[in-house]
Amino acid sequence: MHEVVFEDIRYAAEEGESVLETLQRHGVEVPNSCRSGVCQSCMLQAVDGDVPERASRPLRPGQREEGYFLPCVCRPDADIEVTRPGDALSEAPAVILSREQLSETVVRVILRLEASVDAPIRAGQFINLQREDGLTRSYSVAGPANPVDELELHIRRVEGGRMSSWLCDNDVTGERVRIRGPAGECVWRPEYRDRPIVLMGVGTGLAPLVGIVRAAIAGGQRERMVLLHGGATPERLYMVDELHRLSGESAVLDYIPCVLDGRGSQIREAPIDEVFLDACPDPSSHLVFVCGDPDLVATLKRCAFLGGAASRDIFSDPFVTADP
Amino acid sequence: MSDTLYERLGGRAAVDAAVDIFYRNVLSDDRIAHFFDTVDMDEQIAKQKAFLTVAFGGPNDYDGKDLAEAHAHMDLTDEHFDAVAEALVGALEELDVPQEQIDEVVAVAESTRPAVLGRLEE
Repeated sequence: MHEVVFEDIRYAAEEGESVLETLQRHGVEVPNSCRSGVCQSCMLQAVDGDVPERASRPLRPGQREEGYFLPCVCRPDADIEVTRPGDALSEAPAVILSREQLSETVVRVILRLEASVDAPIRAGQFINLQREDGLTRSYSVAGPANPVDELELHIRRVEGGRMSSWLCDNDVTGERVRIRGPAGECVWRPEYRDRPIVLMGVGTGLAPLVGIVRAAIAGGQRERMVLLHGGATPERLYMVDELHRLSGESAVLDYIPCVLDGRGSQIREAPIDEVFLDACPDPSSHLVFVCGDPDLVATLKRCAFLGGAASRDIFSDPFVTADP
Repeated sequence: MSDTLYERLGGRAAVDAAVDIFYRNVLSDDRIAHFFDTVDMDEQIAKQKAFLTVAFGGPNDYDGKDLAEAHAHMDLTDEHFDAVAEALVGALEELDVPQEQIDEVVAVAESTRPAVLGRLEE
């Protein structure tokens, strides 16, 4: 007979019982609906122990890797420790190595990890950055291609933003911070090598996309990748020259910056969804990555889906803004 | 012993194949798109898989009361229900599912109409 450990309490399970049944029998509230492994309302995360394949099969690969599973159809035969989704991130200390202005409002920060977190951090995922006083914000990992002990983050200075103004306005080199994570499904995988990929982002939504592109190029991507970066005006874009250079050097990368108001620059003046439909008239076999402002992410996901991209091939990271 | 409808259709694989086509049909139908428009797409796809599993006669634990509660306060009409059923039939036709099985799926879906439209006997 096994036990289910949840929030430091060990619950005895009856033989053949699902994890959901065990927890509910002991009065733990877990959202649930279909109780058949379909609706995913009950989703939890396993932090220790084995999850039978049945209980994670319906989930996306990124979720499975992070230990997510469906307790209503999980019938373990050994002890298992579980948490509510997102509670299972591990922490490591880090130090800020450098800070570089990329545009008037965006700064590139490089951190060195001083220990590793439990799960390998992959370019395109995001981490929680915690300052010494506990202030915490999430940022995407823009590089390097294999971020083993260094992380590149792109920070936009938000008016009144406590974390962003700390990072953007001060010489924070040498400052000690803590990293928690990683999380997020926007990563490149070797099995994508022969799949066409389209990546769309606005603002610092570019950060995870650059991470994915770097990982793809380093990993030997063979099929075409199109990277679209949108902004209201040219001032809202960044890394334009660097990305033109990268796409010039790479046989597989096309880079299209676009703005709503070109203000006389050479940058293509069109909304990003139009540029997408033009660059990818048939996205049905494409992998699609969309990052940035949540409303725009939802719009672009739907645009790609209605254009024929498969729902399981669309990955996103909506940037939900914290209160400053 | 004959397989269940769900097994004959292809089980989970059939749901996976049908959900994108079905959901695209729903989003392209002005009568019902607005019910599904604002919600996170990943969440919606999971919900539509749950719906298709029910309609295909697959394993689920929903009873009439659950369905009634889930759809309460939406002011749903027969037209809305018909539109969703059409989206479902369209997806199955696109997947070349035999008419006989489509009819069976429609019958299962039909059986949920009173609950979904809040017309259960109290």
